[in-house]
Amino acid sequence: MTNATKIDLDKMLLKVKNSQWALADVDWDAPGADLVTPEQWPKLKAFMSDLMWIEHVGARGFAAMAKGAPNETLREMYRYFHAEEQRHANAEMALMKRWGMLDGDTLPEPNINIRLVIEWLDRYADEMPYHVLSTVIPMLEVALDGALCKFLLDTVDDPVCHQAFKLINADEARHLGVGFTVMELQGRNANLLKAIQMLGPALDPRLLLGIAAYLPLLNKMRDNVVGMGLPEKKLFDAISRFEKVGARSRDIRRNPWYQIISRHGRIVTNRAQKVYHAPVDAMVWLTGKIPASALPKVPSWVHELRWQPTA
Amino acid sequence: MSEYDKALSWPAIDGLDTFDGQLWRAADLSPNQRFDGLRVALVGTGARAVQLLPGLQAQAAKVTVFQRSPRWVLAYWPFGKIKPLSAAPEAWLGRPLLKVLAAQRANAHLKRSVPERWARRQLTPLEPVGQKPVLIAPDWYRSLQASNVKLITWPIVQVCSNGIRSVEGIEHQFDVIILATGEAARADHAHQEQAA
Repeated sequence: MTNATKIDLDKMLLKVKNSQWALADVDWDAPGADLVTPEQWPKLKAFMSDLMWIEHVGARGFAAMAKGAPNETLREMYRYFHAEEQRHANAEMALMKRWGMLDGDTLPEPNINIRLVIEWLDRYADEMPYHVLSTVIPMLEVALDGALCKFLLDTVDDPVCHQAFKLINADEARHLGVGFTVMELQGRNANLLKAIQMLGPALDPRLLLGIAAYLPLLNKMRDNVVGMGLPEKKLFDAISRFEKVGARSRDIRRNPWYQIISRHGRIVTNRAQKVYHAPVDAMVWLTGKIPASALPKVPSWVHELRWQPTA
Repeated sequence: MSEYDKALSWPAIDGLDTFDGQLWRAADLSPNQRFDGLRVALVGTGARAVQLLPGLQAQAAKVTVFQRSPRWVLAYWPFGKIKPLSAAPEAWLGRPLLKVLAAQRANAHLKRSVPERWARRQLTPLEPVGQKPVLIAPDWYRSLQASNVKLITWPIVQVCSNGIRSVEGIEHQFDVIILATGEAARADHAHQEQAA
């Protein structure tokens, strides 16, 4: 988690380029796979599948941001982040393979809410306002970095899992540093008029459709990870950190999307907010009724995932 | 050697000297050079790469094309039969009307040739037509979609003994690497000179 929000983006891009690793750097057959207990195995399988899909969905989000970025440095940065999130998903699949959680070479099955978000990303993400994606993605990364990955490392003793997540977390820390810097740049000198301009795209029907896919996904994931044993408070604390780190900067506080997304994160992680959760849970129930056959086939970018270190 | 010559000589990719297979600069390839049954990496998607791909695709077991940024491609120069406009496209793309017509044709060519949405997105340049030279390549999109060809848009990290590592964490293994980045270097150089 970043403490400072002011980062020289050109230097950061250089650092990103100099901090690359590959799946081949990890010995996926090293001893320790048996440290995953039979009791852990089924829950861990579901957890890793969700985690892998969130990384993959995040990757597609970065691809969309590369299109909307305001300058060449950020475009190149997001091009790297897109590939790095893909690497995380690949590495998590390699762990699943190591633990015998993949059915042959096939991808883990995404749940219906992930499928809906994939469908939305494929159709509309590239047209979405940069302001929105550049705030939502850091919030999701804080949840990943601060709660889910930490929970995994507290729970699983396999040294290869720790080695892989040390590499993944170092990447995520750079993503977050850039994410907060961008939120700050967007909030700089934001007056009421600029704030209204930034919020204008919220009425775009395509964005509303995205929100309709995103809200039930968050609720479902939240319930899934809590069901797997992640203490609810840890998730709440991770989301609170997003709010606290952002609040340190006056410019981020002026960013209206930060205000919306951070407040929303707080509500998502607080089940007591019945006014929010009752309708969103109904959406989860409703989307659960959509037969898989009603959805189009997954876009081709999903098939670029692979657990094998070489091709 | 000037910076320009250096850029044309070898691209700045780490580890080129560690590769165990054949390493070629596109400019050094003779027309008789064959790669039958081999796994070939073609780095770059500029003018030389689009010329090379159809032949490579017909010979090699597998061709992997590494793209940094896509270029606008026309199947042919649509004004070739109109005598005053039959000159090289670059000479005319400065004219607004021709630029609009060329953009329409390039877009239509891409849409018609690449039906799959993600592939089309990856092949759509961010910049408008005319900012960089337009490529004339009737077989580029068709060759790219052949079953033995794969387009990779992940950034390259380095060349290693077995092939190329890219940022998504995968080591792509090859028998041959062909570097076709010179044209891009020349375009960038010309752009910098113009800016200066």
